[in-house]
Amino acid sequence: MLQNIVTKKQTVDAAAKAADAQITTILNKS
Amino acid sequence: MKRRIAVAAALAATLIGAAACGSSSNKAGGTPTAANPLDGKGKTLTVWLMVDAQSGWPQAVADANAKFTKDTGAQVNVQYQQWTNHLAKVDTTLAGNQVPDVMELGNTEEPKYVFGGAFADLSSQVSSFDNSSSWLSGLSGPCQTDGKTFCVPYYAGARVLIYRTDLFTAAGLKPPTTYDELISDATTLQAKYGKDPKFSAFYMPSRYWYAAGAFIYGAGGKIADKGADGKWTGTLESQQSEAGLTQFATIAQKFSKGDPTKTEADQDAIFSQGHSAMLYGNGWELGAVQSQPKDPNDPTKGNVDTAVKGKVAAVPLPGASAGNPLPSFLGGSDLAVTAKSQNKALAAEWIKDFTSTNIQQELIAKGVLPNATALLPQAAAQPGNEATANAAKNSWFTPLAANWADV
Repeated sequence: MLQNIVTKKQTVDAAAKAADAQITTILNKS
Repeated sequence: MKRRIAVAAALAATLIGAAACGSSSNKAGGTPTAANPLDGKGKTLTVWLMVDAQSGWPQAVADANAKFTKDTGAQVNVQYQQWTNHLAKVDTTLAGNQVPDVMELGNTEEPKYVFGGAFADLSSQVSSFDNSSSWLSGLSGPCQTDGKTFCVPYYAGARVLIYRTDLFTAAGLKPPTTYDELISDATTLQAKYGKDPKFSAFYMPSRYWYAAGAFIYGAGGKIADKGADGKWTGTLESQQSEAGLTQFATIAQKFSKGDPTKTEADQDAIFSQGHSAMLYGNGWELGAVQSQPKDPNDPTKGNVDTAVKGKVAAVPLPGASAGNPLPSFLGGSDLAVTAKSQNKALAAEWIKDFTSTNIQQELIAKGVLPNATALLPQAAAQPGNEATANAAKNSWFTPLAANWADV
């Protein structure tokens, strides 16, 4: 994610949204 | 964001079962006597410490052991562990029956074992540990779940801005006290020294989460939030988190040269080559950038002075306003009594001795950050340690979720 932001492959907002989806899924995994 | 911990559901189940077994056997007449659980005559406590204590503060270990043996009559067998792949050994050992009584883990490693039931509940004894009322939250937080405490803060490390004093002086600059000054100084340095194609006014690896986190939390954001229903939600897309991410990215894009796939793993070696003016690193990295292994593949050949020897200093990473540096990720270690220990009372007593104010002061004298804010002024008074001690006063930590290691 950070690499995508720094290299401008993704905007900060797009990268953050994608990361949030992953984080939410993983942290709530039972 | 990958951490060293690989969570295994099967192991967690094993650990929970182990915790139950350990407790029941103790109640059924385990080693400690009912009359005096601290009567240790004829017993030997097994303690796992990481090698840092062996190389950095062996006298503190010896002093704590001597006091413990004098008070309880029990002996102590300290077994030093290597950081590399030590969690595999921890997992294997905890799944068996021959376990150490006391175990040190890194604070990012603790949650898996705390949530998994690997450690004994120390809640009723917390107030008896020196300085427990001001334990550093970045160390005590990973020890706690459901209002209970399962481990004890041991020592800490914080990250600071390491800068080239010679380059700053030659450019007529002072170390920055605000983010705006940081950007201004970096712009000046990049213009002055940018003829060197390798020059980075601020070497910032693209995949450096501990740095990005400082900007995220400094801007008022966070990585994830836990709701009242116990569910986690990623919060990197909040306005505050994105502002912090943007600040981080600005530095990496404008002032840092090199491979964009890098993490911070080899930043000391890169900075030590003399082509960078600033770096965000652990307090101990101030020494590491000045002294590097002669042969990285052969530790027996020792270290050599680098191109930046005697040309670096450290300050807290500045935030939006002067005097309010960005929160630092607080690394460090905690100590726990294993749930399977047959000597839980003695094990807790040894941890009390080893985390006492006297022993913490011995660690401070070795340049280590103590486990409590009450002791940070003493650490700050230690020459060369002021910036790191001040950075530790304001810290952030990764989400305290059982599955964080999988993120």
